[in-house]
Amino acid sequence: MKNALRLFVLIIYLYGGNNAIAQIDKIDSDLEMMVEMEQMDLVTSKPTAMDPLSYNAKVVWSENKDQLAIVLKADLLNNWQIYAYASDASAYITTEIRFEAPKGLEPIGDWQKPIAKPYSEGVEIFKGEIFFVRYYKVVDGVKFVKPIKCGLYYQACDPNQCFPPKTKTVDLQF
Amino acid sequence: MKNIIITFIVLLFCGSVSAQGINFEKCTYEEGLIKANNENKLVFIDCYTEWCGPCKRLAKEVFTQEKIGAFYNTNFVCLKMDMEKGEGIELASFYEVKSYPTLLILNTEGEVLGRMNGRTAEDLIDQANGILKEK
Repeated sequence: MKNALRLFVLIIYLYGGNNAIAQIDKIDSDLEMMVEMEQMDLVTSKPTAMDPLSYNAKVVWSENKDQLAIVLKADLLNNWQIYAYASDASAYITTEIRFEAPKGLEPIGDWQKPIAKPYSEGVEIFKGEIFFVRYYKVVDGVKFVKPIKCGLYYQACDPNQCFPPKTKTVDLQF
Repeated sequence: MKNIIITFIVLLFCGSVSAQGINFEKCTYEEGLIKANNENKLVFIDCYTEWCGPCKRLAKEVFTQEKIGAFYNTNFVCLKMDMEKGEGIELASFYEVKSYPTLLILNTEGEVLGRMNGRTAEDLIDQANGILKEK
């Protein structure tokens, strides 16, 4: 009987613990929908032959302000690509997101990235219009006064040429 | 018999030379211009960087071909410059090299006669031929 009681307590504890973790990690479904809509509205300038990647980013808040999402958009000129993954042996540079979350933001999971396409051995690419999204939990009572820089470090190439790697940044207003 | 053997060896040697691709000179930009002047040729510069995949593909698959080697070695003093190191940095700025590879054809004064872009030996021979005709 005593053992059965212990088992019962253990089950309740584990259930409660998992539930708590699930609550922390759960992204607000309304926020996810808002992010999808905001992605469509996020405007970038037209990419050109001299600057084949245009970039923009924004913050999307949940209705009750306890979560937010950082949304990055890159628009690549037709026939141009950036690198989702480039092994050390390749002559390409892997794309990196440059964003340091301020105090009061706790990430919920990692960056959500577009599906990469295989290009050559040890190299995967992104093409066209792509989005990167990361969700954060907002600690109660936190206020963000200054804008925070959010950047994309990348190397853009077409089949014949590459531009030097560069970082484009946007000041995010919270 | 001896002459036949010598002729055979010479032919074999010449054959192996012509089987090579572009012969890139190991010299500076200035030395390249002087050498081109002395040999009555133009200057071809492959402007590359270490992080440039298309540059590596050209170097490995195109510049090594016999036909491009025969054409470029006959008409140009060929140089290869890493544009992020040494004199390449200054040259990249002077020639306004924005993307890589940039393939330049210069006269012996260092003036640009043409900028090329291509993926195949045939492309690069055709473009260089066009520049030579307009010279």
